[in-house]
Amino acid sequence: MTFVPIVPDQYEKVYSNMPTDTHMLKPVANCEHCNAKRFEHEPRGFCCRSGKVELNEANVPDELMRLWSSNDADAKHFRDSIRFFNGHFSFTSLYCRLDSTTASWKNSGIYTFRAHGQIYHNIRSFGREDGKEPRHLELYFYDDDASLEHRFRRCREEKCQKDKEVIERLVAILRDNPYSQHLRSVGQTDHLEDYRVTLNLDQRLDQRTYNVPSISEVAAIWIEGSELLGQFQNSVVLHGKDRSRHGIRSYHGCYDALSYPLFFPKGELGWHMDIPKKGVSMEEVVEYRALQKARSGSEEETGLLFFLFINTSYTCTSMFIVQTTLIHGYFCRLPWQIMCVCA
Amino acid sequence: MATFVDSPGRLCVSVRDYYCYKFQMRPGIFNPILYGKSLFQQFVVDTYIKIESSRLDYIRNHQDDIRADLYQGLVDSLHAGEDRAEAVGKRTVMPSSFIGGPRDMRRRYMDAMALVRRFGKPDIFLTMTCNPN
Repeated sequence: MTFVPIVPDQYEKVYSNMPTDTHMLKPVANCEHCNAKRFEHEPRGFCCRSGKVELNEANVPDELMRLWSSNDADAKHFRDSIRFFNGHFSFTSLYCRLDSTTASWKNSGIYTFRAHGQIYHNIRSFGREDGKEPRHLELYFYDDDASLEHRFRRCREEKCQKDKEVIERLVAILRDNPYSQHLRSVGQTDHLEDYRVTLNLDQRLDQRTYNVPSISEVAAIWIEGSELLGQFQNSVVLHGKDRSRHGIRSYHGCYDALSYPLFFPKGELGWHMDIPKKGVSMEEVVEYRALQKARSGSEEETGLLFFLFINTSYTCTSMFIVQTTLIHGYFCRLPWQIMCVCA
Repeated sequence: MATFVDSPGRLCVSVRDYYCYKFQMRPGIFNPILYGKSLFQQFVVDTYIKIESSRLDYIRNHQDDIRADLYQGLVDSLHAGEDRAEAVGKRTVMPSSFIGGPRDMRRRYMDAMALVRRFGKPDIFLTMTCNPN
């Protein structure tokens, strides 16, 4: 026989108040302006500023849509290794100064991706380097080669066969990508070091209707020595003779298209400064910008660097900004100590 | 012509509004971004960096409008004994509405302390994380 002492449970108060049913959000009607699914208590203008914002819908190629949504084996593998595939196909790469004390399991409890300074998306020139395999945008040069040997070499060993299958499909899908079309034409030439690729950073498409940048809008190719065609106001030039690095800034429209080709397979633009709201014509925006430019004398060059200490938790995608430094022509003191939690 | 009343805010879509619109679920419309699993998370973080840098750019370019000269950064550093002209630099002041700025953090801290004063110390300090795998 076991003896059970009759002692009042000190947590009785807590357990007696346990709710019996699950709290559920009430269903709410979709947004009247943009038909977005809404949750209870979500503020009214959250999805589209009460109808002021209106953008076109993505037009996804059928094959890519299958990979995103179906239950086929290759589609599942594609989604499970999605970051590997995006890294494989992206034109840019991420640069930041990682904090080595937190970016390991040894020193800190949880792996924390903490970067010092700003996080950049950089694009590299395609000059050949001895002993280096082609990476990122250089991989696109050889996509016309049916064997795709250059891409398969970068497959992960343990999942090689599955990776190859998906890569083959993605190469076929990205054949329509305007950047890919330019780069493939470069790849067929013998003297790569003579070539230059200019990427247009200043694309201003109206995104209220479905608009895809045309091939001539995204980039231009020319050979060293020929006359430089100044058709883009704001551009970066990639060389065939060195491996210089160029930053793609967050306010450039091509930022998303270059970093996430799997989301934007046809080079669709991301945010840029001149997307008009509903009921505003493109002419009004152009007029306003011209006026602004005239008033400030010359367009201000944003050559300043912000150094943020960004602390991106891998698990719950939260960020902490710890310190901000500003360089303004010359070096200056660390002006602020900042801590931030934004979940 | 009332063009002087115009501002980018009235005419153009801001970064935050743009991506808020893009990340919505709409019945009958296929949005590949929402199918992206971990790539979606990466994209969201990247987007937040974008939003934040646009906010920081705004604050830096509108120091006159937020009356940053009242903060007397230059005077302070001279008081602190800085006599090298190149080391004085230019101070950028962040408004307390900038999420994560020093003044925002201070405000939040004060709020938290006021709660403790009113209701006593918290019983549980709970942090939740989830396993990414």
